[in-house]
Amino acid sequence: MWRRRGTAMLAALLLVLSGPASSAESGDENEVKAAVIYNLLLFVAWPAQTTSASSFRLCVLDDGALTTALRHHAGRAVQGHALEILRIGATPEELDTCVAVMVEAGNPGVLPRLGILARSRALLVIGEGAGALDRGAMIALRSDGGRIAFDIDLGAMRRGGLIPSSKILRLARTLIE
Amino acid sequence: MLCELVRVTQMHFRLILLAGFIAACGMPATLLAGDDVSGMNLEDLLRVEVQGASRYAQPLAEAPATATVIPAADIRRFGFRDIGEALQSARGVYTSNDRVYSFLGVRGFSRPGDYNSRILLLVDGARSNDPIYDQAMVGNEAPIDIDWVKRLEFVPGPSSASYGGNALFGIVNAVLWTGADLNGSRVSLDLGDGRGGRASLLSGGRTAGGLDWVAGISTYQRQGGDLYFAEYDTPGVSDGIAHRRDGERYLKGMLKGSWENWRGSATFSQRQKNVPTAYYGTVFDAGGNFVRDSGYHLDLARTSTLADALDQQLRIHFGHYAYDADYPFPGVTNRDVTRADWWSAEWQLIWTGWRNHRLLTGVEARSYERIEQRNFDISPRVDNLDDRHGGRTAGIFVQDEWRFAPNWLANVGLRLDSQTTAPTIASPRAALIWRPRDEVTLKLMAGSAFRAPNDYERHYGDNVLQKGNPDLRPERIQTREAALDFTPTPTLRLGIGRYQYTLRNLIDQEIDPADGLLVYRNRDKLAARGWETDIEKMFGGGWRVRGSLAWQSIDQPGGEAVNSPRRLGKLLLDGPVAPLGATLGLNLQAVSPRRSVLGSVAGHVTGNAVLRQTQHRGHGLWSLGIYNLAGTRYRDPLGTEAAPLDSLERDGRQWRLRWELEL
Repeated sequence: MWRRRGTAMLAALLLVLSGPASSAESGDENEVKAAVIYNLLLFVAWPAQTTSASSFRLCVLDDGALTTALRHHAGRAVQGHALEILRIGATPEELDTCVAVMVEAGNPGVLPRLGILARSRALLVIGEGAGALDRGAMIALRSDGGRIAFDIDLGAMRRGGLIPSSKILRLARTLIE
Repeated sequence: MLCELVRVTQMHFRLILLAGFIAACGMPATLLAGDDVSGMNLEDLLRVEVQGASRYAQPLAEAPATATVIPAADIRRFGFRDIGEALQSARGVYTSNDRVYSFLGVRGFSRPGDYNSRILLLVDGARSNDPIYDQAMVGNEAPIDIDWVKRLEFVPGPSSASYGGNALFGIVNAVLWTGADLNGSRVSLDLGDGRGGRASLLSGGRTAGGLDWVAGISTYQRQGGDLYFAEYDTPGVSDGIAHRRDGERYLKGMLKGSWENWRGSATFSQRQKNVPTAYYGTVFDAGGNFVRDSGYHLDLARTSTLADALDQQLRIHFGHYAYDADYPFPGVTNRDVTRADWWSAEWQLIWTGWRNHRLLTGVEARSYERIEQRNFDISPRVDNLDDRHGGRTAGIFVQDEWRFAPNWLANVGLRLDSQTTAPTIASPRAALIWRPRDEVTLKLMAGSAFRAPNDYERHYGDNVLQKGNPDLRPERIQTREAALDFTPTPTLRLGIGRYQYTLRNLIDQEIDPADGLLVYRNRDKLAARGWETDIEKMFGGGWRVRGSLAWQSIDQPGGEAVNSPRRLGKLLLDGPVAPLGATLGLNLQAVSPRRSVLGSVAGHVTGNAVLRQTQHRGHGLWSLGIYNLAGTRYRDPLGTEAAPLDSLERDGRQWRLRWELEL
């Protein structure tokens, strides 16, 4: 009796299972990270001449899940300009037009080079993972206890002429000066 | 035959009652499609739970419980070797061990030999307690390897309103790594005392086609040393030393994947432990005294959106559990063979279309296809027990999270469970959460939970030492709790909580005076209350200190509860040691004296220290852990099946050298 009912229930379940799909469920962490990155851009002050171009260009070096999530924010307003997400290589020439650059966790080797480049110009270097600050990122995003947190290297930002607002300093999990 | 007392739990009182609501109500799960994070402000984004297991996504501050989250970073920094050791870092949690299984104590309740049946263990949100003993395995016997864990969530308190049976004292949810997290392979090799070694390989990634996959395998072996038991030291009979009778080994495997909105996983575990303590009156220092726990779990889930603001999740689960044990008695070896097969299906709907409400409803059905308990003497073959049952349970639940005013949140839930072995049971829960400011969260919570008598308690019996009791009623707990969380500065957090609970019809073992047989009976009411407080402070340079204190007391007829320390203290300190390119994790645990069945055990303070390299230098990372640093001698109370032992000395100083490589 039960067995038969169980079979019916299974059949019903399978029917529902084959219903419409949508909400992708992995990638949620990246969506939150991407939204955090967008918000961080709102609370950093660049030297005036840096952001005079027609768009606010956030460059990316990868094409992973976080970059994909970040692309959803393209076109939104940042510092009075539309956000543009542009994938580039890591040569100094390509970086010239970027005001910020984001490096995914899977590509940490490039961070030290970016960190050195950013000493001489206003380039916000955003990394992913707990060790990204050590390797040259100014802001590092990571998941911590199931939430997204970020750390800031205030000294590195200031050397590049970038001024974070007190709001993001207050919300940073770890602050290095 | 004295043989069959396997798994007799007899103890006195220790109740684990605790309270809590788990995730059930809703802690974190992945974000739902209805949550558009892109429009959220920074403060809210940082509060979003991004992973987890329960009914839906929810910031911890808004969960109707006081949850503790232990991320993988802490597991590594403090060198936690199993789930129980990691959970012991949470406030109010303590562990004990009988050299076969690990036992969790929560809010003063840990009855020797209850196999953690009043705690629900979830793996990625799926129930893993077996249906015969209801056991939540948290030591080496656990269904998963600690290396697979991305984070552990512990939610003390009753959660039957969301999860049904077993969730009396708390829920432990182990969230495993995803392929995107790993994006490569991790190899680890351990060496430890007692000629112990462990090897683990974990790989994962995400293909261009969007398939997220993880595969892991771990194996462990420990020969174990000699152990001395004064109770067995009888001149002319035994020197009291169990000579290398403490060996252990396990093999665990895992495969999981997700693609679009499908998720599937398979886990396998087999652990065999030799028993040096001669429980159940077996021959001391004899070979062939072992227990083996094996099992596998298959899980398939799919999440989808049915309509605007309406999401559904479906989950189908199959579980298998096997227990084998040999008990050498003079002239004859006795054997337990226990088998269980079950499947479950669950369907839930989440509706967010009603302004300021989030409604969740669902149904769950479990069918026990095979529940088999056998006990026999091997040669000459004598069958003592051959018990086969099936059964089923069905549950329906509904809950609502209502933001009825700015800064206020109410969370109410109700679940009805019906099962073949017990009447229909209603488990309600309500929580009121007030956040007057970002830094302050106040929660008032009340709820109830239950556990139906399991097949072991109802049917295991040989009528020589133990008999079954099919008339057992479910045990029930009611808990009330208040908790305050205060974060005065970004680097300081303070928490304080007060709880009380009443446990009715506790299922406990006693001796029937009519025939002298051990039997499980429902006991009278038992009440308990306690305070818990904790503090967390971060310092410059990455150092962090966490401390907690718990005071608890159980009122029960017949005096103090067994294995229920009145006070617990913990201190955890971790941070970088720059000159060494390493982190240091220090973990101190203090436990006040506890009553045992026949006497008492002294209080103790133990400490662990783990030094772990943080900079890869091309040849992996090394870490060294010293456990019970001072070699403190301390004991845990045992159940009556252990007679003539009443308590057991825990391990002295131990070490573990670990090498990890990420590829």
